[in-house]
Amino acid sequence: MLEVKNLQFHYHKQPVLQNVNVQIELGKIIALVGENGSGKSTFLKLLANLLQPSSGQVLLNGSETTRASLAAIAFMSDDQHYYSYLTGDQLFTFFDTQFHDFQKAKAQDIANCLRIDLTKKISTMSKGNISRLKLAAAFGRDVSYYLLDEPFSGLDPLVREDVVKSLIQFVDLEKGTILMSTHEIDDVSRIIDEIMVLKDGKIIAHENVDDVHSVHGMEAKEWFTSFYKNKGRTEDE
Amino acid sequence: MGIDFEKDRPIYLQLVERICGELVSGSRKPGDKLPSVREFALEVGVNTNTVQNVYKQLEQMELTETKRGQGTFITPDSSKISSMREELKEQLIDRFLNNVEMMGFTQGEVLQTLKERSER
Repeated sequence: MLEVKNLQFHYHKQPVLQNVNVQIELGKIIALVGENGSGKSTFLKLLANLLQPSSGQVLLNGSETTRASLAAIAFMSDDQHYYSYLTGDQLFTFFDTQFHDFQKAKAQDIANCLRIDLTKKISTMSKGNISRLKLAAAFGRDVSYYLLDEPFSGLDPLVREDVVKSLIQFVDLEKGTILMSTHEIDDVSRIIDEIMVLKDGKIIAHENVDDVHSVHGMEAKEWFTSFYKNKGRTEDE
Repeated sequence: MGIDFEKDRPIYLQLVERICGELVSGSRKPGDKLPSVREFALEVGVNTNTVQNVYKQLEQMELTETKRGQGTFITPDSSKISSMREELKEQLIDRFLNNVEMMGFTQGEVLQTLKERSER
């Protein structure tokens, strides 16, 4: 389990995340949603040990995370400047030298499924192709936690469908969890187990999707929208 | 992708109902093998946890049996399917009659129209 306790993160004295407490269990697909600037990317980077908390803890199976924890965590950034001087093939070869859990054949499989030409230089690829390549590289690793920052950004709707399918196909939920930030709740609502809502640096909800359906009688996106608005209102009063 | 779902009810419930419907209509028969969890997940476009949950529900309803190492099968006992069929029919009628009353119609006039329809 990945666990966050009283996490605070400040950037130049500006609070970005405040008092975040959350538990991320193994074997789930979880959507992390919230407006731009709500702290989603920062939160994922803190989980991946790419940023250090100002205070509080990130625990992996009970012990505080270190650089070594990255052996159990794959992080896909939404950075567009991504190994632009390499081809897809070269990228996978590089990953192979960096991560002992990387399975080149699996990554190539996923790349094929997502119809990416691995002989092309990344600098010549479209935004959508780069996103798909990054996904293939991330899922090529055999880890417990896949943290994906905006895996659907820059993808047109048809390709998004392929990507959603690849999430089902290539991640074994008996061994792994996917936590992904996204704006496209509609695309993922049918494949997620849980939804986590960040607003102004705080986790304001973490719900099981079946409960959203049966207790609130709503679809994830509808619930999120109304919840997000109402939560803002009650806190302002 | 896969099949469409209603937006206001848990997906696993809708899938359970869908399989029940297939049993009622006979497109799945007693003794048939169900696809593996992963195959089914990809076919309908949901995650494997959801399908696990669907298979668990079906097993609790005694509509399926899991054979070790072979997979999940529809029960060969057709009486279990018939009783589910009856139950489903009752539920459907309850839901319908609830709506009828809520809209202010009487059961009598609805029955009349149903009769006329079936004679058409």
